[in-house]
Amino acid sequence: MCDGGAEKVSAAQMLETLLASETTGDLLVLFHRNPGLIDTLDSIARRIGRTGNSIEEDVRGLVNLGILKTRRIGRSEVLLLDRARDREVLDAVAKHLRNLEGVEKIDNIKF
Amino acid sequence: MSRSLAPVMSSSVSTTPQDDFRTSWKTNRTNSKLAQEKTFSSMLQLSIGEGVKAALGQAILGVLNGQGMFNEATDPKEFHRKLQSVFGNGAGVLEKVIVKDLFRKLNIPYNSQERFDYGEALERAKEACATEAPKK
Repeated sequence: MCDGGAEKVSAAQMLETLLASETTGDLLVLFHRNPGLIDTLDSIARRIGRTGNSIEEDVRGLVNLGILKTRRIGRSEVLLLDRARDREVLDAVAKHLRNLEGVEKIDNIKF
Repeated sequence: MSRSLAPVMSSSVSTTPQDDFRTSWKTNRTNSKLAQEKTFSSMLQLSIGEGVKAALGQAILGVLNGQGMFNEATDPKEFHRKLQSVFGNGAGVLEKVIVKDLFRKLNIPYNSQERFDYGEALERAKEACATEAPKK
């Protein structure tokens, strides 16, 4: 019971991180449409019409969640999608939303 | 002869060529408007599907579809209310993802600096869809 609750909270937090801002939305779309993309922070920012500095915090959120990971290539640090972790996070959120639907249905029952 | 003309003569609808043209023009205009709305609605549904899938993946899109989340997508207030009940502040982010996809399809420039309103964005897209349709 407690574990279930903890899982729900964590999935809710994941969802909050995923949809934290317009930038995280843009980053998710960019990496999901180009799952093999490996690029520096500044170049990724340019791809979504922003600057490196302005997306740093949102990128950090996705890196902390594990959806994005960093690698060092030569002198550059690059970002890439962690496909396995991405699937894990999205599946957990999907499960959370499914459970949420069940809760709402119970809430809507008139006794 | 008189038997075949009888229904036409008794009909209140005039059969002069001019009236035929007017009726046909009105019907075409109504049909064209309906067709435009249908086109826009399908385009919006496509953008919702593609946008949400690109942002959150197929599994989440499937769950949301199953919940009927996108059934009234052309009604911005209802759509926003439903999205917000599930995603809270994230609803706005998803709306932006959807609108960006829709604008890209319609070649409308999207400016992140401008104030965002989902309903206004849909109206803009609808207008673009209507002006683009006769060209095709």
